[in-house]
Amino acid sequence: MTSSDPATWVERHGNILYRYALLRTQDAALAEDLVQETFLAALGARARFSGQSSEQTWLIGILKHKLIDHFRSGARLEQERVDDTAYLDGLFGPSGHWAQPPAAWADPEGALEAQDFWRVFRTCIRNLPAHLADLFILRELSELPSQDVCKVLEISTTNNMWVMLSRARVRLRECLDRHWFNRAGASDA
Amino acid sequence: MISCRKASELISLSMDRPLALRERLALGLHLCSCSMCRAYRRQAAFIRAAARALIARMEQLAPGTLDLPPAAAGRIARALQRGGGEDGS
Repeated sequence: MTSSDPATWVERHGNILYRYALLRTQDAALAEDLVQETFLAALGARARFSGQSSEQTWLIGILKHKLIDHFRSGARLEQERVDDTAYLDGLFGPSGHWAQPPAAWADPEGALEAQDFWRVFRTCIRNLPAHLADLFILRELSELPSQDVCKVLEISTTNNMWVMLSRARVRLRECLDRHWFNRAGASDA
Repeated sequence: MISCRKASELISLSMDRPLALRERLALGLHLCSCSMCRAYRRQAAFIRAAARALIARMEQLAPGTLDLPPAAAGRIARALQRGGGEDGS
């Protein structure tokens, strides 16, 4: 069994692959590039498509590798990692207490139903320092096992990964607070 | 008594692995008397719930809501055609 005519791929699988990549990168332009790379790689590997899996499963398998390649190169470029210490010092102050205490959020369940909330949420993820954004996406949106996440992002220990996740979460909390739950002029519906 | 900074780390950690007894006690004691960290704990849990909901949402979106933009689809289709032979351009 061989794959179908590549001329039909974009129409038949383009949207599925795009959505898969977009969820795992939160970056539309990058998702488009990854879809293109996936199709081109698939074209070269057509002879090896066994028909054991569906064509779509096969393509998603290739896309997964492209995604991992992307995050790997990101880790390499990001050798000079952002130092969070100053940010955390500002957040907690010298005593280790919240400088700006987290206030309760009104109606978080309602936020999940709001179209605009998702725009804010995705923007907050994208605006994390790159290494934290990559980590949050791989861990919370791609559900990759810890060991794999550490390997792909070149994090030396799972302990370091947990510390970084904690930093990602306090930043996300602050971003959501500022741009959604307690935004200036919000009457919060 | 641990600081809020330390408590925030333990709250996050508890979402990724089970806390050791000592960690659990220290966090529990802190949370008893700190409404700010209790709020933070709810918010951190919400962030995870939102991530899960985002996955579900993007996987279940009706066709046409989050499609490959037509311009990109055209570009990729052309690249595929070129890619059939040698690497074009």
